[in-house]
Amino acid sequence: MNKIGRRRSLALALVSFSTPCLLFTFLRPKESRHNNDETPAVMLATIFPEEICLSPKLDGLVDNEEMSSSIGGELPPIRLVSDPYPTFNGISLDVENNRVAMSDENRKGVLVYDRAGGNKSSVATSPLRQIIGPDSQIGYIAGVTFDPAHREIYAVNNDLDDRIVVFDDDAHGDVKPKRRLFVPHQAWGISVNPAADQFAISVQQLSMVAIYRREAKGLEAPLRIIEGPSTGLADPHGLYWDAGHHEIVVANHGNYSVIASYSAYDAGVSSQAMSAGGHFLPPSLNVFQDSASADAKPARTIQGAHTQLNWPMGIDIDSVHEEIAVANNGDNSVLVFRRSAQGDVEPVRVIRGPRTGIVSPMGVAIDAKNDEIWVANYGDHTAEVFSRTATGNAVPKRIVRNAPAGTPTGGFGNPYAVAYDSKRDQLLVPN
Amino acid sequence: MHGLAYDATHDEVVVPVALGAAVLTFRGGATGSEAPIRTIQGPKTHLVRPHTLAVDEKNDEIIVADTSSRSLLVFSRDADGDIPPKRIIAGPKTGLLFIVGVAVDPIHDRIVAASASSVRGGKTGVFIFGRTDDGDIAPVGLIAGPHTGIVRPWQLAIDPALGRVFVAAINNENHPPYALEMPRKDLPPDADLPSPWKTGAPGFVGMWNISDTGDIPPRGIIEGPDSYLVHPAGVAINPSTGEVFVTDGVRNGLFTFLAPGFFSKEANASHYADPHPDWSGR
Repeated sequence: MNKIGRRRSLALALVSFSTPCLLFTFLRPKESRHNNDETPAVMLATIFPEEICLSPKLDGLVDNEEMSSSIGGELPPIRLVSDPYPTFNGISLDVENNRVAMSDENRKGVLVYDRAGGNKSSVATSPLRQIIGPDSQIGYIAGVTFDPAHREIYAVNNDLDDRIVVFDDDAHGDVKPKRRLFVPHQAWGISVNPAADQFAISVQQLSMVAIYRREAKGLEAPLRIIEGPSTGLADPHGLYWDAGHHEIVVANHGNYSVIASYSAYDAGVSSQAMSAGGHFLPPSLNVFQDSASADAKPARTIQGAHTQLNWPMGIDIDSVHEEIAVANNGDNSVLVFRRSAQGDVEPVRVIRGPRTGIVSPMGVAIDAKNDEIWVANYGDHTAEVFSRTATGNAVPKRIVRNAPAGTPTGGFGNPYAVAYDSKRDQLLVPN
Repeated sequence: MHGLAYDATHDEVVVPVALGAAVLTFRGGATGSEAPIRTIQGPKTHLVRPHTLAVDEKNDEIIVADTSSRSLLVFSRDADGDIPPKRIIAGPKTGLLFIVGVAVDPIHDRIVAASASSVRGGKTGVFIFGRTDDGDIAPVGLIAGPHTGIVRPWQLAIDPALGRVFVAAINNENHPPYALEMPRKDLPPDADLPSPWKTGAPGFVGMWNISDTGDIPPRGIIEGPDSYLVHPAGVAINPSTGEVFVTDGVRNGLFTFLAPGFFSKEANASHYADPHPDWSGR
């Protein structure tokens, strides 16, 4: 089989995306099994761009003859599903310096683009800078944020790495972070308050917000935490520290349980957790006084059927127009609420529909200065820029692409399991 | 979500929800935001942080591995609501701690669990129990030790017809810096914990017999640079085609290997060479 044939046999497919907790179904055409000339259900890329590809080289795919008598060893795979392109997740705007940063969960990096970049072209947009590589210690990254006041950029590793890494904002390549702070498992969102010289993070599995000294590093403990049943925090993701109003806003998926020790380093079993039971709460936006700690009640909560909240991911606040924007991953939309809203309220605007191109949004950022709103899509290789007041089935003004238009996304987010559906001849992979 | 199972007999997909302390069952063909057809959740369930699970289609049971309750919880397959488990395997005699893999062999009547422990005297490896075991009971077999090559196991798969256990040995070194909300007190403030993405011990997929026990190398293995595997976490099999499916978090990808030898009786003949003899001193 020639090299092109081997390349063609590589990629299978993706059907739909999720956030860190869904299933993917990969079609595996029966007629193609054990056939190196197989046609995948969906091609991720006909030819992988090896210069940016972290996936393995492609020349090792094996002929059936080589495999027939093998009982193991250094077996090359006969098929591989892997997305060689970045997938956008978190997003942060630095309007003063005309930059936008996005985390790349798939390839484990941070991409920085020109704020005015993007267009209607189908060609991938060139980033200004990219932080990527083992020395960067960027892993399964979620949140990212600029701190323009200190010319720094923060990256939050969500699963596995348990660390935040901080770089100078002109960092590029496989560079070591200038600071590294270990944090609880499953940190997701981050927001810096330069005036308080602190930052806050959300922690999924602990249903917690932790506030740290801005220059914290190593194993420095948080200054305080917001955690407990009164907080209403439940699998929190997006977080924004609204310094102007002295509030912290947190987006919650709604999964809640009393956490107990679970690691291989702790022998204990919590009887309290054993008897607590889990809960599925409606998703919410919880607003706390930024001095809150412990089991504090939120000052306001946006929650209920009218809100349309569905797996709310990243959030941002427009202090000029007094609005909160939400990347509403569960229904491929962006919701905008009044900043002071509370209860079971409807959003004041919703960007949703096939013309929007919004697919599994993870991040959102408001640019009040230029009257724009950015959306980072995980389900497509795009970040889109809309007019700030766009509503309904709106068309984006311009698009930043991290792959040529039409390139499917792999959709994986730290895949740690797989199952084989023998009835449909499909593979199921949870994120 | 770090586990799931497909029930071919009833055409259902079963998944754990670690952060909601729940087990959800969906139609096999479910898609999108379709609601589950059954939910196990509530204080009677003993679920705290259900990590992964297996379905025993023959005996109509779901076996849940819970990393926080340090237990294997066995529910009726059709359990729905706040239902207590039928049986619980947990306690110091079991040796179970951080249980991240589970599989069931209804032919040889075994439940197999992958568990890791970094506490003094703890064991990391593949724990084999009787299928109907209940309570604080020692495993009937334990595949563990330097010759196994298993530094840290993850998902398991079983071929009951031949009694073969497939182990995704992720083998990354994971040193959690926090004990829940606060930094671990046993670590110095300037601890330089390795990134789990950048650790030296590569993972592999190994195969053992359900009757194996002790510090023994696998009988079959997929490993090495040509496999592209770095830290494989997920494993599933299709014995009818001789395929082994593997996910790898570092590659963020899904691999298919064709290894018909794993599914032939001849593979019983001998153990594979020690996968990492240089690790014996670990």
